[in-house]
Amino acid sequence: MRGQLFSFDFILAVSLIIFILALSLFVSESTANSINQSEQGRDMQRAADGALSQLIETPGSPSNWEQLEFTDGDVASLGLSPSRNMLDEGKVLRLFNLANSNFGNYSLMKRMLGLDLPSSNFSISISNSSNSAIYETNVPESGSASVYSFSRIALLGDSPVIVNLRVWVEK
Amino acid sequence: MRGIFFSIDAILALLLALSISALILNTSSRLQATTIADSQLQKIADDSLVSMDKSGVLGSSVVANSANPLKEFARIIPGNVCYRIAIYPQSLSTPMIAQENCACRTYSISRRSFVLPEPGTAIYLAEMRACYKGTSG
Repeated sequence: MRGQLFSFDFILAVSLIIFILALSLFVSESTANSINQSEQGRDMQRAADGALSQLIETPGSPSNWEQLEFTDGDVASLGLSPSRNMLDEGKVLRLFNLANSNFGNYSLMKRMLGLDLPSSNFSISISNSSNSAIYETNVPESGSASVYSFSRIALLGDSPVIVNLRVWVEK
Repeated sequence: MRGIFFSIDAILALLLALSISALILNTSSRLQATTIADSQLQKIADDSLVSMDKSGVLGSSVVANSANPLKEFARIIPGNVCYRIAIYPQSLSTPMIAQENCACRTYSISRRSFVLPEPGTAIYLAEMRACYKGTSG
């Protein structure tokens, strides 16, 4: 009987220890994943916020970038506003034409806006006060759970508009 | 039995550690979300005042002594935001014009001064308070 009791005790203790170890591993793994996702989300939010500020608050570099060939060498950065919060229609038109024309331009634009994060994509839209889109990029969202959306108010001509930037991780 | 006691001890310690780590994770993610939301709200308030100034809406309101231009402009402010826009003559005592859609208990605040050259040069101060609708008091 002594041997059996010892075995039962031993088996129970070992089972519990294995359970605890497995639980610890599971928890540490899911915590690491959650921290990783949170870090990735924070990076995307920072990048999206910065990109939107760049568009709304700067004219881009050079300031006549919309009249130049859209290459890495000719255009250093993108911006839509000669003066803060005042969008230039020519720059806006050029930006959306470029983004919707081909994937190469879209990728270069992503890099210039600092949105070239791993597996991420972005879309931009400009809507009026009736919430109708005046301009929008035709990039379909992949149905990702992590979509970060940022909006800023600006003027297009004399009318107030909402500039919305959405960033998401591809599935 | 000794083994079992050790294991119960370990389980208790693990539960405690898990609770603490869950609490820390939950708090940090909530803090992060709040910081981003606050920063967004501040930008909405700043953008609104800058845009209203540059489009002449603030000036029109003063000249007409009416909140209608403010009200018209405010249609662009996202629907989940509570706001109060006020124009003060020189000091922050009594607003001469104010427009609000709902009241905020805690809010982000933005101020911008602007000048009306006619009839005599006068400086005014515009203030916008904003909060998210769920947090209004």
